[in-house]
Amino acid sequence: MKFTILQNDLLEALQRISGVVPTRSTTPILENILFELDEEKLKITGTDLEISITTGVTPKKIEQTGSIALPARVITEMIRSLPAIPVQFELDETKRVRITTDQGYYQVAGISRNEFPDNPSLSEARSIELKNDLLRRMFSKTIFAVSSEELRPALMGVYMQIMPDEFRMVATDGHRLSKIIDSSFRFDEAGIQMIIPPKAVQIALKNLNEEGNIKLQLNQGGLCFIFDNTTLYTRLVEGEYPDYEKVIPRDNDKKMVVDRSLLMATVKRVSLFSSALTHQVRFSLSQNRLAVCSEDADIGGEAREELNVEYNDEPMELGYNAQYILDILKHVDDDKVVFTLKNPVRAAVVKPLSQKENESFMMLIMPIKLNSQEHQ
Amino acid sequence: MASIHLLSDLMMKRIAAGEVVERPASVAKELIENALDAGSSRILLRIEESGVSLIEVTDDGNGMTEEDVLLCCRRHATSKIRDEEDLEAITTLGFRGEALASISAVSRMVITTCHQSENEGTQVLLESGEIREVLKVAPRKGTTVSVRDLFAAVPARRKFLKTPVTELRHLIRVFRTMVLSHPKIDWTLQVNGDKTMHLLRNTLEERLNDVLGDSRELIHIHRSVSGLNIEAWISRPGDGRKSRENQFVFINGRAVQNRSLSHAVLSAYGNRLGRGEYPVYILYIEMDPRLVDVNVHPMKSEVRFQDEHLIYNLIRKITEDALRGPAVIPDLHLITKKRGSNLRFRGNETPRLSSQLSLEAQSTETAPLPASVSFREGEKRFPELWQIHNRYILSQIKSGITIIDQHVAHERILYEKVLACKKSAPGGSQQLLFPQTLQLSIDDYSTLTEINTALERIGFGLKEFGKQTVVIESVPLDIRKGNEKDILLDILDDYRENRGTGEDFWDAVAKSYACKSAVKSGDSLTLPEMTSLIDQLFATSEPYFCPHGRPIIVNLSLEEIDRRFGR
Repeated sequence: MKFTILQNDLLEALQRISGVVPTRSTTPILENILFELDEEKLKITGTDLEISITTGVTPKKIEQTGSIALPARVITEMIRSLPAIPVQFELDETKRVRITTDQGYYQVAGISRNEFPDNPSLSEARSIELKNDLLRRMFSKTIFAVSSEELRPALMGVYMQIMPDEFRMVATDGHRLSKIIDSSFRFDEAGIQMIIPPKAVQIALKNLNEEGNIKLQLNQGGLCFIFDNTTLYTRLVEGEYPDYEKVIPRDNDKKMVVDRSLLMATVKRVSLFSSALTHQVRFSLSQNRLAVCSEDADIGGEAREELNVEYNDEPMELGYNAQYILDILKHVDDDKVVFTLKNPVRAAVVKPLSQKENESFMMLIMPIKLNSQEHQ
Repeated sequence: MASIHLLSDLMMKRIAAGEVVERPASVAKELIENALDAGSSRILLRIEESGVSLIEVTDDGNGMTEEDVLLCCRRHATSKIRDEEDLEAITTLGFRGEALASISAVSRMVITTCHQSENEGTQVLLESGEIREVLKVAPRKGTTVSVRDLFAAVPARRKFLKTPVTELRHLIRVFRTMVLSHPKIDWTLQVNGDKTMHLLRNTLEERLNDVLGDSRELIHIHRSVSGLNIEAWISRPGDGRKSRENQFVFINGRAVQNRSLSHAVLSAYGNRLGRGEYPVYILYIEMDPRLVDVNVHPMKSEVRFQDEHLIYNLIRKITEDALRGPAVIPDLHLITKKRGSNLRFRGNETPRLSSQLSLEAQSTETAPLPASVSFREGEKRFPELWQIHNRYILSQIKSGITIIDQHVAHERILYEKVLACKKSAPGGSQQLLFPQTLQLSIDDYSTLTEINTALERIGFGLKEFGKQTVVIESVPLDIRKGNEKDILLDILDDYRENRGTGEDFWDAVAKSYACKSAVKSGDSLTLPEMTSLIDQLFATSEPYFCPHGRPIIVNLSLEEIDRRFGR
């Protein structure tokens, strides 16, 4: 293997896969990046066995094809610290790679390609084509609610449902839930659903272009995103996604409309004085007024702020985890947010006041039952 | 014919002897007490065949004149008290004037003695309590009392002796106790002709090392309150033993047993003790002899206090204080520590002498107390924290390294939080989007109904759903997400298992909850999480021990590390 490549081209490629290469693994080969060179292209691959990414880059000059696995950290750091100059890679018979610039050389021991895990085969895969911007939007509106708790594995991913006349994504950790539906979507075949691990979603978000389409390939247990120059393969989360529709309340009859950024700033400030462990804040709703309060008995902190809202129902006291409220508000695009409520122990439904065309986006947040209610 | 008659003098003596001379060990105890009362500075105890063929105590005390010797074996003959007033304020170990008479009634006894004022010694031979022979011998300061053929004439007694090993163990226990009670004396123990143990006069601390092994493992307490001077060493929770062997109480130099004192110490440990763990404690109490009555039992091992309540509370208080303090943080000894006493009764062990021991003892004085202090005062709080093996939190402290067990630390925090729920309302209860249905066994179900009120206050929202089915609708805020069902079942199991131990209801629930919902070892923590954990830990009332008595914090001193590197 012998080729010359521009530093910035290679660095860009290395950065695309760096997120997946483990820094410390029980299988040391995974700490390497596979370089494969054919007559036209250099392909580099990184994997943690759950997810693998292969990306292509065109060298300036190809002299001899070949392949070798090289330690990810040292190669990435070295290329990163070089200026934008041509770099030559040359593999010798003893599996050592000499990297030469006009200033000098660096030599590193490689590992045979055969020891690097093969990419999973995607034969018999179904193909789906999606718009880049749609996929990006749906991912970014749901990923925040994914559970990180390994005890309920099915929740540890974004649930993607492709149906004949709509495209859905849902994520929940059991305390909040986010659901987004695109109803302009059409799919000719039978429906497909899968649970995609959040790490793959994050990498996909990084690689999705603004425009154009992306092809997904799906087989038993695995999903492949085919981007322009890059393919991302991920294993899917096994297990059955819970029946989320059942827990979305349909009869919440009280409505609060609030300015999104105002509420966000208020909750942020007030929550600084809540318990660092529970982030508990209290919403006191009354006629067109919302008071947000917190207290931290451990450090003696306390805060209270009031703001104007639209609310015309009976007064109510609600407890929430401020972190969840902030997460939810962050993902609303509209200036106004609507909370629909029933009572202090029922899930609140949160939506933007005006939905985008062909889109239905809603979030749920479960309240914290406040102790004072016991004494009422 | 009259069926009632007076017993012979010998029979009376033998019956009386039964009270005092229970076994060879009691002979040794009486003889050593006499030697101590004689103001000796050296005492030698010789034992043959677990004391049945010979128990001999040699001292260098005042000795007796011929007149005294002849009298000393009569009952109620004593030099130690004279009148009622003396009896109320006993300062000697003996006072009843019974021991020698009783022992001589059930053995062959030889007393060899020389009073310091005389230039001729006396030797008296007694059999069955009668003087058989009186000889003049060469003067040798002090007294030797040899007791042979113990119980030879009382087969009933002899039959009740336990195996030689057991009797020897009792003898050693007496010796250990005496050694601890009078550290400023040269002690020698000889078993079957071997010089088993020779202990030079020593400081109390060294003496503890001699008898118990490494006394620096113990927490030292010294307190003088209302006329009482108390010096004590107690074990750290978790360092206790499986038996009561190493529990000693000395009042004015006398080894005593007193239920109320032991109870005071034990209750101070409370739930810090593991199951089947007995704390090691050595209490030295000095007090006005008029306030304590030792004339309760012929063995004089029981005492009564004039104000038992005061002593009980005092002992409990100082023990509790000591256990709360930072001294309970165990020091980590990388160097293989020598556990157990060096007072072994087999083999010719050379006496373990001071040089090495004192070095170790000194190192306890620099024990890393400041650690926790600096945590609290927080001039520079935890500059850096590391999590190792997702199990321990490591930080540098002034005196070395401190290691915190994340699971037990969190356990302590949650435990206190739950106990606080007992008094005031809980913080809140996170409602669940997906309520969890739980099908319970009859057993679980009845346990649940028993503790449901407590669970509700902690933050569990449970709803009954027909036969033995329960739906978890909400959970405490600090519970590990997704794990609600398992935690609840674990709490039920745990609670049921501990219910029998008579623990407080809340305590049992709190322990189960804390243990099950605390972060586990293996959970990785972020820096803010670690900081918050430690902040909260030090806000608890007892940051050093988890509710089950395991240590939370272990310090590794720089010294220890240095030593390890041979610096």
